[in-house]
Amino acid sequence: MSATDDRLEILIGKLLDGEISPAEQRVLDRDLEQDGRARELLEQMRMLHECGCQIVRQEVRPGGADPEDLFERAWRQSRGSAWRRIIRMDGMPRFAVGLAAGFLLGLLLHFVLVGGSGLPSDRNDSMVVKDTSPQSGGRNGGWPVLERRTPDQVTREVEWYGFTDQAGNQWLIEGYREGVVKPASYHGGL
Amino acid sequence: MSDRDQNELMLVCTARRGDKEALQTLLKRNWGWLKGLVYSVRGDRQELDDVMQDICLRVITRIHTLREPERFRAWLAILARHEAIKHARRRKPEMVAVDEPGFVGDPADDIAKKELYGRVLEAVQGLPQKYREVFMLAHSGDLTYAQMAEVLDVPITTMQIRLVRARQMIRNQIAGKEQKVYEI
Repeated sequence: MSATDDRLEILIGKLLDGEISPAEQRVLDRDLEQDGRARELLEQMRMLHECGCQIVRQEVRPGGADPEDLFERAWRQSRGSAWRRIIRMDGMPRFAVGLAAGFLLGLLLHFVLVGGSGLPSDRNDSMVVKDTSPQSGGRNGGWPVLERRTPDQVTREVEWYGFTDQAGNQWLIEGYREGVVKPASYHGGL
Repeated sequence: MSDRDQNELMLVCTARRGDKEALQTLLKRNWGWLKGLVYSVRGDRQELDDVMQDICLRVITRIHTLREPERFRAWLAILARHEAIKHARRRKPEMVAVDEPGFVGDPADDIAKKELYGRVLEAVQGLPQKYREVFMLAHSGDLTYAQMAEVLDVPITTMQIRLVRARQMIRNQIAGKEQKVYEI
């Protein structure tokens, strides 16, 4: 195929594709007028062009789902659950999400396992420690004995307050909030 | 830049911010040639809708990664090619009926046209991918030469030469001539 043939084919192609400029059109018209082979080529290419358009109409365009439906489906899919989005993630984002989830889990375990054993006042165990030393005639081998506190013994909205029991023992009680008491320290000579 | 291109650029910028309507309009505008491109990559229309839906999904989820909005079509073409190839790799071969084109006119002429159509279709399907792509884009009627060059990410002259070669190869096959292998 010569350069002249290529040029002629480009011009005919442009004519069929609607891309020919007026100057090119003039050159092509002259070629077609003078050269019978050019006219034959134009006829062949016109048929091929029609077939090409027919192929697009028959093979590509017909049937199939509506573009709007397909878009809607894709849109819904893209707005899927958070889990699906995390699963679809890859590389750094996935690593970051994993790291954050691990940190949160660790934090939760810390509060459940460690926090659960502390903060006796939060458990509302309304107990007070009674001195059971031998001097005060206590029992249980010297260990403090917890006694149930009675409601009338509570002093409201006082942080620290004194209390004398029926045996004459004096207690220093820390009151956190109404109805909650925490054992503080007991000094025999108080 | 034409008004249409300017408008498309604005749509791309809006779509990058996740605007559903802008995304939908953009895809709808480029639907014809996009479908032609997917067809040309695969060589048939099996699962065309599935591929198109996946392309929509990729566009929706990846539009924010588009760095140059003015190169949206080229970006879309790369994405579409990638999805079409991905589907082609995992599909199972199956028989697909080819629709007979509906010609109206002289029955003898119809038979000749149908025969020619079948031979052209066979020749198009047998083209190397880059020639099939340019042939399908040129006949989709949606794009100018400049836009086709943009989609194919090649200079306009290269695109024109590829189109000429594609047409030559088809004509040669129909005429029963030996195929040349071109490297453009």
